[in-house]
This record gives sequence, structure tokens and C-alpha cells, in this order.
Amino acid sequence: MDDYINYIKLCVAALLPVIAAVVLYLLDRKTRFGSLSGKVRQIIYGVCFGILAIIGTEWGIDINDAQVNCRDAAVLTAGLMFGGPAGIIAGVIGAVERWIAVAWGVGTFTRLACTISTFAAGIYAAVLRRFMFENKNPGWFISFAVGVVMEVFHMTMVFVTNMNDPERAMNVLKAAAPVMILTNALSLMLASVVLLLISQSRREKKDGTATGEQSRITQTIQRWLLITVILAFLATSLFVFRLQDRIAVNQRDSLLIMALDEVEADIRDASDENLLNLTRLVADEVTVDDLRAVANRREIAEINLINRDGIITASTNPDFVGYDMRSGEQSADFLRLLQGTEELVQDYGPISYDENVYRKYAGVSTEYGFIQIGYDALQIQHDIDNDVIDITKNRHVGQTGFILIIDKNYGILSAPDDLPHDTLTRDLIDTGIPAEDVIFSATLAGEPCFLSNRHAESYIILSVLPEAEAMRTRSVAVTANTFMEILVFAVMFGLIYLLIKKVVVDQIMSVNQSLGRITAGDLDEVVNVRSSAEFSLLSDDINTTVDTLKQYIEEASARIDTELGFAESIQKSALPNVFPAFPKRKDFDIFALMNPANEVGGDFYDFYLTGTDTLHFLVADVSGKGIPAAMFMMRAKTELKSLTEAQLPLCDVFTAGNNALCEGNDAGMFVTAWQGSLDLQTGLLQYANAGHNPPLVRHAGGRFEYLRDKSGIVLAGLEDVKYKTQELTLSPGDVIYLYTDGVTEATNAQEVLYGEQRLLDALNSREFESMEDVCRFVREEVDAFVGDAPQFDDITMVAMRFIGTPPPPEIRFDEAAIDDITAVTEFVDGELEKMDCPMKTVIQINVAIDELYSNIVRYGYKNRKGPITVKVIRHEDADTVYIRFEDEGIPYNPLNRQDPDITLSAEEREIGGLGIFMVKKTMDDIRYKYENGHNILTIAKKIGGTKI
Amino acid sequence: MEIIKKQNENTLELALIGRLDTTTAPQLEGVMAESLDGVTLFILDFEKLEYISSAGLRLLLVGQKRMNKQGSMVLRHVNSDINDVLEITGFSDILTIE
Repeated sequence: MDDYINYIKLCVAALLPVIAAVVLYLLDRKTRFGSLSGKVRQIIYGVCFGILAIIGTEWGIDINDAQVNCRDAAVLTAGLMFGGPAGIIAGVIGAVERWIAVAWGVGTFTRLACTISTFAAGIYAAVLRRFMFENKNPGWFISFAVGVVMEVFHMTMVFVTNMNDPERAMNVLKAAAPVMILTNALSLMLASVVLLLISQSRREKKDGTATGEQSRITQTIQRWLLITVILAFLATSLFVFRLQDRIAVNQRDSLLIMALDEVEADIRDASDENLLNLTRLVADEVTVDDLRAVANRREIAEINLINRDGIITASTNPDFVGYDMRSGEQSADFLRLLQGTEELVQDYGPISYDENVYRKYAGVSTEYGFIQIGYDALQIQHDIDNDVIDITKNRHVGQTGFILIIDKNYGILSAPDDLPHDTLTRDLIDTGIPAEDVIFSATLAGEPCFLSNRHAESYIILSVLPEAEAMRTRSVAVTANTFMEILVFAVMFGLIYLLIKKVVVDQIMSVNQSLGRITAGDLDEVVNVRSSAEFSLLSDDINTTVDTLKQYIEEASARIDTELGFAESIQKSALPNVFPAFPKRKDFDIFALMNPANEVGGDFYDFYLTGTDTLHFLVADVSGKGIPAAMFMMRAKTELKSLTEAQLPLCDVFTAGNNALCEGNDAGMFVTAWQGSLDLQTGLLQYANAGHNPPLVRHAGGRFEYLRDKSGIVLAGLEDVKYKTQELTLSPGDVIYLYTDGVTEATNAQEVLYGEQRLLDALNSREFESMEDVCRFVREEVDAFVGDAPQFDDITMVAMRFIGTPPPPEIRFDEAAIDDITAVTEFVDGELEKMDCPMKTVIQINVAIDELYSNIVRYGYKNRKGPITVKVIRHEDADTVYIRFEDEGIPYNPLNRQDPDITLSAEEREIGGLGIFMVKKTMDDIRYKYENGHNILTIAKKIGGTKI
Repeated sequence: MEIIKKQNENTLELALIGRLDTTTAPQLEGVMAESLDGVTLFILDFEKLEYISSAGLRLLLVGQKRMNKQGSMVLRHVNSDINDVLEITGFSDILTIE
């Protein structure tokens, strides 16, 4: 019962380090304990496991003055799982306590061995953790191996510290080694497993997934090295075992046979001596007549008298008389007594006369021949039993082996005192006795033994050697060898591992680190691992590769840079980028600015005039960035411009443009666009929006406001979408500001967007001299906001101020008459003079005025008087002057009149229509329209034009 | 417009100074109406004429038609501007320009 309790205590002591490991691990990770400094924590770990080591000692089981315990497990767990210093501290505590513990009865025999081992365990674990496991939990398998090696060391120390008493040491080991090795190794393994499980489940919780980590090269080496070492260990152990076993068996055999030889010789000597003595006595006293009487008295089986001829002359057995001694081999032997030999004794055996009869003979020569007497078994035994007992009783075979003498009925004649005869007899009967000199096993009085037997003088000699002794040398040798091998292989394992790690793994890691930096973009990193020729070569190869790569990348990027440079300049030149864009125009001011995020961008702006009175301006943003966006942008820009220039209404420009862009848009790109068409005469702004950011408008004297209207869908998004034209009237001084989302979505380092509000505030923060001022100011504001953060999107903006034109000079006559022509001509000439108009042109215009004015007076106001207004219109940037005639006469388009046939003769020619014909010929353009009850006729003439 | 009139037997020479247009054409028309009777050579000196409008051309045509019946009409010193006008209107073909 006590045994059970002891074993339970041992198990608990083995489990305690595991539990402690879990508790300390959790404390470390989950409480403020983890925030203590490393040194303090190591001390705490060390003390905790030191206490557990003491418990391990105290709860050990005493066997043979030695102790089975799992003190080492606590020390190893501390050192291996929690850090070297902790292990060493625990080791010292455990060792010191073990040393003193002798005082209260813990085994003395293993005191030194245990103390040394416990201390060594701490250092051993610390060294392993530091150099082999890189401060990581080595895993269950290795942990187990570490535990086994430690305990083997411990056991070996028991040997080493007790060299003078190896048998006892062996006994201690027999009792303690398996249990100690197993409990300590298992305890350590369990701690490793549990800690791994906890840390893994924690990591899973953190990551959400279990990471199937690839085994590292060191782990692979560890595993294979371990397997190799174990195989090598098994092979050598098996060999040593076989060798030692053979040696032990040979020794045993020779020991047994030698004992038989000796005892047999002794018995024979005793028997021979006895019979010869008897023969001598008989020879002296016997006569032919009293043979029988002497034989009876002396209890002799047979007495023969043989003459010089070798013939039996007298015998106790009458049958033998006359027997010729020469007739049998056994009897013939005695004839030597006739040839000078004085005495002869034969071994107990079959006789020549009758093979079934066993006798021992001796003979002594006499004057008449010789006398021979024969003894049978019982007579021999009777004579020499005591001698035999004397010879064998205290005889040892080896150290603990002995000799048994038995008769043919297994009756025990001689045996060691402490072995009961009847038990031995029974054991021997059970086993049976094989042929002589054969080695066989039997259990005698409960102890397994090896035996051999020999027949001698009717006795059976058994030499006995207990198995324990027979195999002791083998066990000692094998155990010692095994332990030493485990230690040697463990050291080898460690050294090879460290060597590989240092020579290969560390270098690979070093190469890897460099490669990591290279992969991260540092192409200037140089791999410089020169520990061996191979690594040197590898380093050189990598460096060369990286250099080549660097060169290629540089070349490629140079090429791309060049191409991008071209693309950039093509894109820039596709947009109006010379400012002021219309230096002669004073009726509006426009400025645009574009900063692509990359070399080329998907944003674009555009502005151009159609005729002289309509300014078109737009800003657009193609989805995406870079080259693809830039290419699509070129398409969109061309499409919109050509449609606009085809004089389509703005809504149709967008509708048709959308359809055109939808076609073949496999890349699924789209454009947001805002386009305005401003009539510079009236200030009427027509605009259309395809999903673009709302522009900002500031009416003269007011503040900027977002122009939010219902927008159409983006261009190239969906076919056959209809867009709407919206209208807004601008007054002179009004400003409109267009931009792309690169402005409002500019982001600073804190990921905050610039936003519409900031843009609005910036625009309202001050007055602006020019539209360039507007754009540059906003750009600066955005830059200041963004700071060092990189620009993600193209930034584009267009600002336009409508200045308008002053009303053109005009002259008006309420009741127009032919005579007014002079005044009109003078007025127009005056205006033309301001324009440095060449004389010829003035004359041509005068002729035109004459023709047109007189026409209106004559035909427009045929029967009544009415007003005529003549305006001289000239655009700043244009070299064309427009003269406009407005009247309220009957609707009449002089251009409809057929041209006169100028090939007719003077007699045939009509004078009508000549005037208009002349005007058509001399002027660059003439247009007529009837609007609101007004005939409006406008002639255009290039100043300095060379027409006619 | 100013018209300098020189009459010598059957020759009438009118030098026009200024503009021959809608407003001034009646002036020339008047002179021609009162002076052309019996004239066989009608000379129009355009040396000082600035320009001519369709009203002027009409008078040239009227004059040419009339002189076709009683003699001939000659335009003298036609400057290039006016010549251009006469060219484009086809008048250069039916008038005699010296």
C-alpha cells in the first residue's frame, strides 16, 4: 500500500513542473508579471522550479539507499522553457538541498552523483536553450530526448562516483534507472507539449488562422541527426551486447566445466586411494582358502588371484576361475602388474567379463602374480562419501556458484547448507539431467542458474552458477556502455548540430537577410558571406545577379522615362498650354493648370473659340491613371472638340461623344466631364455635366458657390444616354472655376481629404488679380494642406472670368433716308480709322455701306420711313471688322437675289442686283438673319485683307 | 463729289473728284442729261475718283448705252481699285478704258 502512495507522490512530483510551467506562462502573458524586468522574472522562475526540485527529492522513492525522483525534471523545465538563468538557479537550489537532505534520510549512496547531476541539469538546460534551441521551445520529441540524456548522465554519475562498489551501483541502476529516465523525460516532454499548445492557441486567437509553418532547416537537421544518432546508438549497443553476451557465456561455460574437472579429479583421487589401500591390506592378509571370508569381512565385491600367466587361479566368484585376463580390454590392463608395475587402480566402469556389471578394480603384484579386488558403487560410496562431502561442500563456482553431488536417483549427497535437499531434488527431477558436460539452465530453490554435470565414481557432480552472476559482467558492461554511448552521442549530436548551424544555417540566414533587404528594394545591398568557398561563390553569384538586374532595371527605367517624357510632352501639347491663351481678347480671361500624378494623366482641360463669340471650355477626368488614362483622354478630348466645332448643341455634343466613346471601350474606361459654352456677346453660358464635380461660380461682387445641378451620367459609361444643356447667364466680372477630384480628394499624411469646403473657403479667402492667380493660389493651398504626402491623383483646374465686351459703336437714324449715307460712312470711316484700316478697305466698306444702306431705304422701307442702325463691331483679337445693319423693314434677304450676268453686252445688261453682287465680291463674309422683326445684315471684312 | 466739266464741240470731258455713290450719282446723272446731246466723244476722267458704287456703275452703263448710239465713251485714268470693281462686275468688257 505504501508503495502505491509513493508512486503516486512520484507522479505528482513529476507533474508539478508541468503545472508550474503553465501557470507561470499564463502569468507572464496575461498579468502585470510580464512587465517585470527579465532578471527579476528569471529569479522568480528559478526559485519556483528550485522549490519543485526540492519537492521532487522529498517525494522520491528510496530503493537500496538510492532514490528514484524527478528533481531533474523541474530544473530542466526551468532552464529549457523559461531561460538559462532560471535553470541554473533551480539547479543550484535543487543540488544544495539534495546534498543536505542526507541529514533527514535521503540516500547517501547517490548523494554526490545526485548533487552533481542536479547542478549540471541547470547548466545543461541553459546551454541547450541558448545555443541549440535559440531560446525556443524545442518541441516534445527533442524535449523527451533531452530528459533521457540528462538522466543517463545522472545514472552514469552514480557509476562514476561509486567506482569502488560497481555491483551496488549496478543494483541501484537496475532499480532506479528505467523509472527515473522515464518520469523525468516524460515530465519535460509534457511541459513542452502543453506550452506549445497554449502558445499556439493564443497565436490562433490572435491571427484567426493557424499558420502551417514550414519546418526550418535546423529542425530538419535536428530530426534527422537524432534519428541517425539513435540508429547508430542502437547498432553499437546491440553489437556490444552480443559481444559481451558471448564473452559472458564463454566465461560461464569454462567456469562450470572447470569446476567439474576439479571435483571429478578430487573424487577419483579419493576413490583410488581408498581402493589401493584396501587392496594392499587384502594382499597382505588373504590366502587362497579364505578369499570369501576376507571379502565378506571387508565388504569387498570380488577378490581374484591371478598367476604369472594372467589366469585367474582363485576368485570369490567361482565362475571367474580360469579366466584369462588377456581376453578383455579392461582385464588385460592389469597384465601390466606382471611386467613390473607394482600397483594399479581402474576407474569405476563395466567389466570385461560382463559388460552389464560395473566395478572398480585395483591390483597389487605379489610373488605368485597379482591380486585384484573389485568394488561396486555402494562399497565405494560407503568408503568415500565423507571424503566427497568434504571435497565439495564449501567449494565455490565463481563467487556465488556451488557444487552439488547427487546419486543416480537424484539423492543429494552434498550441497550448500542453506539449500534444502528435498527442494533441490525436486528441482533437479523437474529439469532432468542431460548428458555430461552440457550446460543447461534450471531454477534451483527459486534462483535461475546455469548447470553442468559429470559422472565420477558412481557420483553425479553438478556445478551450479546463478544466472545473475553469470551475466553480471555482461550487464555491467552493457549498461555502462549504453550510458556512455548515450552521453557520447548526445554530445556528438549537439556538436554536429551546432557545427551545421554555424557553418551552414547561420550563413544562410545571413545571406537571407541580405536578400531580404534586396527584395525590399535596396539593390545596393551586398551579400558578403565568406565563411566558405561555397558561400563565397553564392555571395558573388547573388551580387552579380543583383548588379545585372540593377543594370537592366536602370536601362528599362531609362527607356520608360524617355517614352513617358515623350508621352508627357505629347499630352501637354495637346492641351492649350500657352498663356495668355488669347492675348488680344479682352472680353474674358482664362487660365488652366494640370499636374498629373504620374508623368501622364487622365485629367484634361480644353478651351477654344468657335467663331469669335463663343468660348468653349471644359475639364474632364478619365477613370484610372497613367498611360491608359492618357490614351483615353486624348480620344475623349478630340471627340468632344470635333463635335463642338461641328456646331452641335452642347447636349448633343455630349450625347454623340458618349456614344462614340462607348464604342470599342473594351477597357471599360469612362470620363467625367463638365463643358461650358459661353456666348461672349450675351454672357449666356450653356453647360453640360457628365458626372463631374460641380464647378464654383462667383458672380461679380459675390462669393464663390458650388454650381450644383442635376448631372448626366459619365461619358463612355452607357450608350444612348441623353444629356441636357443647362443655362446660366454670366455678367461681366463673373468667375467660374472648374476642377477635377484631384483637388478635393488630395489627401494629407493623416489621410484627411482636402474636400469641397476647404476649396470653397480658399477661393473666398481673397480677391484675385487674374485667373492664373486663382489657379496658382488654389494649387498652393492644396500643396500646403497635403504636405509631404504623395500626390495620388492628377490635379487639374480651369478658371475663367467673363469680362464681356462694351456695346459696339453704332449710328442710328429713326427715319432713314439716302442722305444719311454720308453720315453713316463718316461714322464708319471714323471707327475704321481707329483700327488703322487701309484706305482700300475703307473704300470697299464705304461702297458696301452705300449699296446696303440705300437698298434698305429703297426696298426695306419702300412706302414708309423706319429706323436703321449701323454698328461697327470688332473683336479684340480678330483682324476682321463687322458692320451690322439692322432695320425694321419688310423681311428681305438680299442674298437671295440672283447674281447679275456680267457677260452680257452693255445693251443687254440690267443694272439691278449689281450692288449686292459687288458687296459679296468685296467683303469676306455677308450674313443675313431676321430676328424679332429685325432684318440683320452683317458684313465682315478683314482689315488689311487683300481681297480684290 | 465734284464734277469738272470741259466741253469742246462734240467732246465732253467730265473729271470726277471724290465718290461716285448713291448720294452723288444723281449729280452726275444731271450733268450727263443736260450735256450729252450732240456729244460724240464722252470722256470720263477718274483720276481723282475715290470709289464707285453700283449707283455709279448704273450711270456708266446708261452713258455707254447712249454713246453707243451717238459716238463713243472713254474712261481715263482709272485707278486700280476702281478697275478692280469694273473687272469683277464685268464692266471692263463693255467699257472703253484708256
